[in-house]
Amino acid sequence: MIADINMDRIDELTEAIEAVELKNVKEVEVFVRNYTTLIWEYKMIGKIYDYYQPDIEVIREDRISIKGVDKLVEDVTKLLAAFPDMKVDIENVIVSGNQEDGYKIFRRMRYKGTNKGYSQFGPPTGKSLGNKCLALSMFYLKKIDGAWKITSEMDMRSTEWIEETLQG
Amino acid sequence: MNKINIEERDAFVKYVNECQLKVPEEVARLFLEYTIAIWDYKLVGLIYKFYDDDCVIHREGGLEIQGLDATFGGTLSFMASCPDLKFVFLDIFAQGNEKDGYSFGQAIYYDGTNTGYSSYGPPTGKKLTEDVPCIGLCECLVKKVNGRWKIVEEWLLRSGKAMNEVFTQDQIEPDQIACDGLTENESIKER
Repeated sequence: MIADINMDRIDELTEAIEAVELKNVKEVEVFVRNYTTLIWEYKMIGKIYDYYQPDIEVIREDRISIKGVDKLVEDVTKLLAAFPDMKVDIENVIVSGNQEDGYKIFRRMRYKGTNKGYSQFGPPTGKSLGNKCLALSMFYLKKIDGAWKITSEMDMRSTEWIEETLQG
Repeated sequence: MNKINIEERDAFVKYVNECQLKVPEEVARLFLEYTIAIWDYKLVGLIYKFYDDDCVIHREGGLEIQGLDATFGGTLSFMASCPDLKFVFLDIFAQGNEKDGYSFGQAIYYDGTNTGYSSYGPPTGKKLTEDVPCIGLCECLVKKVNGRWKIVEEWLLRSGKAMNEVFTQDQIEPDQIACDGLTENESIKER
């Protein structure tokens, strides 16, 4: 039953994402909310390949640079493995731009989850991120060969709080 | 010789003083120039112009900074620890309108050297940005308070761990000290 509810929600989100043409900033906001939820809450991690350029460079906090979409998928998988019940509270999405030139997006959200899986710090601690894990990102969306792709991203999260939660 | 170009600085301040915040594009330009005026030109008092008395700054790990005193304190201590600090803008853009207020998002990286004292202790001489930059992302909510535009809420993340390393002296392990008092690297050179 729960599986059906979640699968139906995945289908709804996927259909909504595929139907959208990104004609204006409102549509972009809905698209960003939907694909973020699909990847993080419903663990459709492989969808990252649909929305990111293969040679994407994501600049993260603490001088971390993630080069290439494969590495980005690894990075997301690692965090979801540590927090398998992850939910994201998308608090605000700012969009600027247009269909011709592409869009700039600033997203504010909070990661919420419990450390129930192994991480680089060892076995699960059972500790929760609570409401303290603020995450901010800025990224650019452009039409490349007829498909909308994220071409560049800066993504920061409360790493020290995540590590504290993972260390128990 | 004075490193500051006064005319250039005054042009920033002029825009900050005259901007009417009629459209999002103006808001983005205003807060770019405002940030540069405060940080690059050290006109710290301009914090009063656009920060509300009760402004809340949401930081990493649930930390909240509230009020003008805390805002001034954080700004001054960062500036004192890196006197050559510059905010290099990667991008800034806004959304909203005159009636409801505006939200803007900005991405910057920090360029500067720790040559002043900080809460971590004496200067280390280390740089904030090497090959990969120490970035900062922030979002601000701007609303009219008593007829004046103010930042009433801000969400800010900095590269905390990397920045802590910049402000922290490298530890030399006791076994790295050679008998003659030279560090390991110096000893290797000698050999």
